[in-house]
Amino acid sequence: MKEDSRRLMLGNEAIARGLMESGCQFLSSYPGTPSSEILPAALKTIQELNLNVHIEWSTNEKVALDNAFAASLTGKRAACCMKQVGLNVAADSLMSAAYLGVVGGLLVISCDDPGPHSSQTEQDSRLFARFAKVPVFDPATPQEAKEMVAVCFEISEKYQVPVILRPALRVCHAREGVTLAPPLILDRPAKFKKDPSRWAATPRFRLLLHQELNKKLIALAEDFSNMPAFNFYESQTGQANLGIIAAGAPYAIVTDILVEAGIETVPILKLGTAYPLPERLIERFKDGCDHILVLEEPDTVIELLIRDKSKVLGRLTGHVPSAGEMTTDIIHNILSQTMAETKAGTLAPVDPAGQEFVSKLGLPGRRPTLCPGCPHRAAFYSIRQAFPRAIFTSDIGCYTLGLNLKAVDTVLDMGAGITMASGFYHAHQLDGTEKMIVATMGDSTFYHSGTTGLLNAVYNGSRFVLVILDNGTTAMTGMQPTPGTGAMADGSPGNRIPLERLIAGCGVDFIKVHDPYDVPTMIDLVKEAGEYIKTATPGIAVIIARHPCLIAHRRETAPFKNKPTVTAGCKGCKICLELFECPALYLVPGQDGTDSARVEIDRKICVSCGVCRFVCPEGAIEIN
Amino acid sequence: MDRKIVLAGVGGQGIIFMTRMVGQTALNMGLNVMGSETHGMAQRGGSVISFLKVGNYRSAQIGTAAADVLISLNDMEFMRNLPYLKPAGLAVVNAPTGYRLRPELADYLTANGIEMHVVPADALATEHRLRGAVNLIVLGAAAVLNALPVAASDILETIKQVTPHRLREGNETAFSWGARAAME
Ligand code: SF4
Ligand code: SF4
Repeated sequence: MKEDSRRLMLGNEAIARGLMESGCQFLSSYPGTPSSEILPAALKTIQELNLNVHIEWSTNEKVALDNAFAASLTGKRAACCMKQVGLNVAADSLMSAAYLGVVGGLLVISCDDPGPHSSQTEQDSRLFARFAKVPVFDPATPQEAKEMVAVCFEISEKYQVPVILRPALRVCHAREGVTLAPPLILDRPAKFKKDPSRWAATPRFRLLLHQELNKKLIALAEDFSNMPAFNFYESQTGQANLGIIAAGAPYAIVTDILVEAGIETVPILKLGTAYPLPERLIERFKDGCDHILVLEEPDTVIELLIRDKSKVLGRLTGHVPSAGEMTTDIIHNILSQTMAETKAGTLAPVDPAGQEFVSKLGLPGRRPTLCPGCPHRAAFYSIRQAFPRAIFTSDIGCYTLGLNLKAVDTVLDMGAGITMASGFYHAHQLDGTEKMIVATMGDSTFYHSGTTGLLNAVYNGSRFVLVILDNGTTAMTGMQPTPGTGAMADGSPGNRIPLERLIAGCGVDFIKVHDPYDVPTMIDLVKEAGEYIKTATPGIAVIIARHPCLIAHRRETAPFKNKPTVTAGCKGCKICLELFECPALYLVPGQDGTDSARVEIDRKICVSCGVCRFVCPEGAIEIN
Repeated sequence: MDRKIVLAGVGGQGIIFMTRMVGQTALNMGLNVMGSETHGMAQRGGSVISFLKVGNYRSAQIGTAAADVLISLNDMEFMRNLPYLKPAGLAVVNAPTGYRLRPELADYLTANGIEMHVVPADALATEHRLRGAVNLIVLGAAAVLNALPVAASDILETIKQVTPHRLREGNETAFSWGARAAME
């Protein structure tokens, strides 16, 4: 294909391209929606343009940031990317790195998920930037995200601070015709200049570093007031009843709404840098307006930081909802109401008739479910058969959907499948009660944050069964490799670290590997593990339920030859639907009210894994 | 030619590929393109919605009653996403020949002046051994129904450019069968 100057790109691809056009030579990441496409897109550009860049899937976000930080100290430009809750994991590094400062530009890309669509929280990385006292950029479109990357590196080097780029979901997963530039090749051989008083600063020096950082922030706020590429408004004549300060995707949305409605009397200040707040620019804009509506997401940052709030309307005044995504409809209605309130003109609210009509149709909801033939389903089913009344602690991944099989009771954060299991054990032990606890965790999650919890549980004498759902990939975020497969980010072989060795290293003696597709023996094994933990020391039993993800490892796994049929023996008891819920199984209503309903198999999606045969108590599912 | 299009279906049907083909074609024509996609949490079978806006837009999102066109790869997602379609909008839906709308739905479409075209893409795919190209059949139909801001021949050109060799012929045929079905 010809080298075109404009390419249709996802926001995440544009960011990756921006990294390469800025001479970034080090990129580390832990996958997480909506950030996961950045590293693979960077890899494509690196290969396409034959660039010399180290990229890695790190084992977690803190590891990613620490690595990138060190690379920056050698003078190279470095970046790490993660989802917003990943920044919590990397918080320790970020807070400290802000004080120490950087040498080569260091960019932390933290992707927010207003909604939330696939996260535990709707937290705002811009608030994290304020907490850590580092500057943050907030793009509104893919093109702008790419342009910001270059400026982030410049700012990072000018002030020697790490910089956060915070694209939200609607920018990460937006697609736009993006203008390309050639990659930047910086001739910067790695050179670490020793300076222990800074790079290993003791608390006394940390105070000085903190004071230095504060000075940088004052200068940065001034710079941001003079950054018309990202922070701007069209000056207008006369006083406006209402002005808008908007950032990120809400800026793009509100601009379109005003243009399409032909409203020219409501000026917008577009803010691409929320922190440090460009106060001078904001005050100038505020002077020309009687009221100011702040549109930002997911949380309150600009609105919070504006000192004189007398004109300001937003979340703090109840004009903007405090949770949930700022969709086009929501922004439209906020605008409609606020314009009326401030006599700034009229904009009809969204007509809810269509929504109301469709909600009355009573369409069946599409609840997310594990794929047909997913090995997790077989594992969860077996666990629940072995111990129906256990406490099931679980974790973050596709397998959170074990909820549907009633085999997941808790999901807190990455690694909590194990740590909550030990917490539950000790809480019950106080009362002398024995409660069966079965923890589940995916392989990638275990490498991310399983070992610390497992070490702790062994050390402190907890007792529970841990089933590691080892499907050989990081499935939910798009099939990234893990240390267990040993493949590295670019597909080349790295050093494999088998789960078995890692778990043994944590002090566990009971380690069994089993294919969960073999349901009867899986059930027996879970029971055996449950017996074991009652008396053994240490009292932790680990089962590695190993079967490759059908999507990631399609070639090795398919085709299966266990084509099921439902015989006349089916009583329509729905046990297979409720406790197993393979999406290929569905209920056909009985004819003319006489026969009972029965189950059928949707051949279009059935993968012939044959696992359902173990589930039917009537033996009505046969393999042929 | 400004156009807002909603493409809907379920995971695995190739919604994003359709969006890319139209978007890339528009881009090749020198038009401005913005798009956005939403996936459910499930890898397979969850709802997928993709927005495509061609023209002078900043935002990639589409609000209620704002889309000119709704293209859906199944009837359930068509109904679910109907509120996006503006009055007098156009819908292109993959559904069996002779598909009967629920009466209240037919009334709604009439009341809002919405024109709906049914493309029996699943049947066509089976008939012509094009399983997996249902999306391109529907796209071919949409293209000749004037649902898209670019010409069918230009989209076909893009499809040729980006599909790997072994899939090219199938994709082209699927697109043409869709176009033919829509013209009948
Ligand atoms: S297939 Fe078996 S488990 Fe499922 S409804 Fe029929 S009798 Fe019950
Ligand atoms: S064989 Fe049974 S469990 Fe496996 S995909 Fe088909 S219906 Fe589902």
